Amino acid sequence: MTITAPSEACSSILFPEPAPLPVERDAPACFADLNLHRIVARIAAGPWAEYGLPRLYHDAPTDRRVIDFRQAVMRDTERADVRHALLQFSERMRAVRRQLALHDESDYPLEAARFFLGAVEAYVDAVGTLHRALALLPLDSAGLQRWREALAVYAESAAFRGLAAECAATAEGLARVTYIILLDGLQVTVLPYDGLPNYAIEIERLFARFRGEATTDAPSTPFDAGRLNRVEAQILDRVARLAPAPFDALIAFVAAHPDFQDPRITRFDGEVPYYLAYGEAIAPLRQHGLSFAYPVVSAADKTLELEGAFDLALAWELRERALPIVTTDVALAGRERLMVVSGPNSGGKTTFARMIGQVHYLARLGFPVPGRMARCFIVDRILTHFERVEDLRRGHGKLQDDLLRIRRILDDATPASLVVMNEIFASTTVHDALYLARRILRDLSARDLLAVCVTFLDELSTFDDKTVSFVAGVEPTNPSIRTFRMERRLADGRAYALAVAAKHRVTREWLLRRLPA
Amino acid sequence: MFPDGRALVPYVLRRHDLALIQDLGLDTLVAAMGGDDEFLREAARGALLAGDAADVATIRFRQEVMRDALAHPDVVRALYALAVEAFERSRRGCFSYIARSPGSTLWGSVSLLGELLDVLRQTRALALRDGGGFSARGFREMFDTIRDELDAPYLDNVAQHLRRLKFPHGTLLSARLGPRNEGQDYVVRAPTDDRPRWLQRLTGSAMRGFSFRIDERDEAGARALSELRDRGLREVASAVGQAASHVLGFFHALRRELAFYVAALNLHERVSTLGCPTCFPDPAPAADATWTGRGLRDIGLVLRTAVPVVPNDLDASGRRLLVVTGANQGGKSSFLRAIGLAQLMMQAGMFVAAERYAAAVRRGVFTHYRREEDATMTMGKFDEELDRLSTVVEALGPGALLLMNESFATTNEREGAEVARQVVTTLPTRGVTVVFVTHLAEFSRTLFDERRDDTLFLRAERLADGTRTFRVVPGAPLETSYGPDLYEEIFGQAGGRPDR
Repeated sequence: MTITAPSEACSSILFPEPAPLPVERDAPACFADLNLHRIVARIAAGPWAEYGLPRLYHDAPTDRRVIDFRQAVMRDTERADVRHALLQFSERMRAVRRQLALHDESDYPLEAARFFLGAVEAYVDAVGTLHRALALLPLDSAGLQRWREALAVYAESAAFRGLAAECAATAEGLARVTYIILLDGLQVTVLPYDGLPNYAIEIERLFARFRGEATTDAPSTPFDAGRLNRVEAQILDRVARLAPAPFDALIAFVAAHPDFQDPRITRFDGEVPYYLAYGEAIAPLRQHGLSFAYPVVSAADKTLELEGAFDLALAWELRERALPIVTTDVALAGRERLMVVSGPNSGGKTTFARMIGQVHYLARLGFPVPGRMARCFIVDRILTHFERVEDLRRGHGKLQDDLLRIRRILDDATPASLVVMNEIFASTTVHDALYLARRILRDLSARDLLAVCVTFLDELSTFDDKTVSFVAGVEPTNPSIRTFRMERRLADGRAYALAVAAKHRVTREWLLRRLPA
Repeated sequence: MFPDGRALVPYVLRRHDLALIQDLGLDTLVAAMGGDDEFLREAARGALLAGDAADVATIRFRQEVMRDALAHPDVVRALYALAVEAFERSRRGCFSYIARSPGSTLWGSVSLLGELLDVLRQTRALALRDGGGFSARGFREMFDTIRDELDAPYLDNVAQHLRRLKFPHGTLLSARLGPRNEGQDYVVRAPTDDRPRWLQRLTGSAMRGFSFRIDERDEAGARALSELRDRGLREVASAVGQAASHVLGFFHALRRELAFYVAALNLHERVSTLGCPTCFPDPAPAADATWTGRGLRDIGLVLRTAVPVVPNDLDASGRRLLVVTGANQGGKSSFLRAIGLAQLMMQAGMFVAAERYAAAVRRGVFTHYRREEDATMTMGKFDEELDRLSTVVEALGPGALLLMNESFATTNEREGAEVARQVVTTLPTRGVTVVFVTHLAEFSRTLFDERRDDTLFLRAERLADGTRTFRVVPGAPLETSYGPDLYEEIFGQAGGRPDR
């Protein structure tokens, strides 16, 4: 039994036009730096793990029409009743695959056949239930409307209804079988059940006195409920000889329906979790009062506007630890392209940089992005440079490595790209870092691309007229307390290293106190 | 492993160990020692990390054993191989079925004990034949144990006893078909000794049953049958299973004691082939201020690269703070690793990659290196860095050695310098020795100008024509670094837009 996969393009819930089946692909290079790998890992985990969703998320469209199509489907799936019906469908289709996997792994025809029957039971349930549910629901997206029509035609076909009826009759026959086994050394005999008395209780009583009082029993493992062992399979063969009729019906059923799954159903099942998984993943944050908004995307206008935006990966983590989540507003207009982010350490600069990257990527996927309102440009690629653990196996040092990586980024960037650089040249002197950063920024600015540059070099915040300076905020009354809010203003050159050192108890005074004389 | 004969227990990683492993590239060293053998790697890693608890006596005891091992590598490897074989046989056999059911526990324990008996005889033969050539106390005691304490008759006894413990008896069970066509709701329907009577009654009935027989060699089938049959064998089975575990435990201890030396033999072979000199270092008591080395090499780099590694000398007796400055890629990190690894290897009782090395036994080697953005996302870099430092400080005490690589560079230079100054000048006053590799130019310059007696300044050597020798030599910090050179090299003369 295999699920047939047509290689030619056909109808998909991910694209307005017929499209080939999605293929495996690696994560874009920016994923790890932007924590998009965590976001995707989190979305695609749990019940969704078996769908290989990352390959879908790794392929973000740049075509405006595809993005609009997906936004519409996503909106539909966010309605509670639609969502509930689709989730139920997914769960039942997973049961189909579990049963088929057991079927494929089984070495025993009668066991395998029973797993197959179980798979068909789940499939019939999945298709029938979704069909009945969707028929009653209002749908707005072209994608789901198209799907509902196709599903109705299939679910009401004679072929599908026949499959459902046969399946139910076969299962009923098997549930009525009872028998007896005689074990004698290595000899096993299967006999018809004839009402012999239960001696288990008597035998237990008989041997109770031999049980030690204080011995530790070896762990007793329960019988494996999942699969038949060889002896059980041989017993089953004899049971089938004692009562052949229900088993004959089972074998005939399996032979009659080798490819019971329709390829349109399996494709939908493989692709609709793209939407469901994201919706499930952000639901807890919404319950917590955080907003998500469908971004207004443009293929021409580089304006960036975000209200109440936040780093999605961080938000999940903070939420789990019941910590507050700070949101940020961003507005770039006119010629503004370069966001230079400075300010105190631990103030949320890196988080801000990641957030900008995440929003641009999630927008391309057609998803609502973190924030009350969002407007962004459809970037063709996101290129990142974040500091990396020094790789001992490589012969060259950090600075050379940094420069080589930046050169590769500049080689790949187009005017439609987004470049995110986090603390570049932090491993060298101020003098060198300024020299190098200015040369790189000049290049970025000349290309008119969007860029975020996190730096401790305040001098960069007034680099040119395309530059916008963001500073991580602090409490006015106590500069060692960060607000984690990004403020659009000029950098004032105050970092707060000693305050942080005192917080971690590693100032001179603290060290003398902590270490014995 | 210990002069007082105390048992070697598996090393449990401590909080700062992961950083130490990563920062010093310990995995490369451990891989060279253990190769594909996870057990050897574990032993090597454990010995290297547990060295902070060692004293001069333990180090000397192990050096003596190590010398013996280097003189008789074949015997040590053969002995280790036997201990490994005992394990492999236990894995190949059916002993692992122990957790499944009483019936298979019995079956597995009996066959395992037979196998172990064989290995034990070989081990005794080896001890009797080759044990005389060893002079180190550690080895003499080990051979005595093998000869005296484990006698084969004990095992023969157990095996014989077990053979008598097989009860063939039949059981009658009823069952129904479950949702997967499996038998379920098993109920015992008859005691086995009554079988003739039940059979008579059943075979006399209108319908006959269907029989099959499990093959004698069909372990899986027998096991499956046992699952249905045996409920009463549990206690005996667990007692016999424990006996087998004890014999296996002996081999486990033997293997654990030898693993470190076998791993060290492997390393010695590798580095000798690579032309890197080794020596047994001279450990001094913790209070001693000795700290010198000649031809000191980063053994990790020796193992990773084909080209000869540049050796360094160290003359730091009496110094509490070493500040290492100089150009990028000048060999500073390698120098720092060379010091850290030599210290760890010495304290584990090994040879070190140097022509000479003498140092006080440190109460632990610690590292604080610059890191990638912390994994939990909630802290900024400097915050994360100081948080890690604070964790290290928690473990520091008099006699500790702290290796810092570009610490305090995650904030701007001026503020980083202030925190750096407070940390690296305060720790030595509390008995902690600090080696600090840094780019904080202003900071190092100021400190140098103060001419402190306990501080030694080292610099990555750069010749007048700009060539890097990768040697770290005594020298005052310079003002600038070499970024522009690299920029030209990578982006070409034009600077701005890279040419493709």
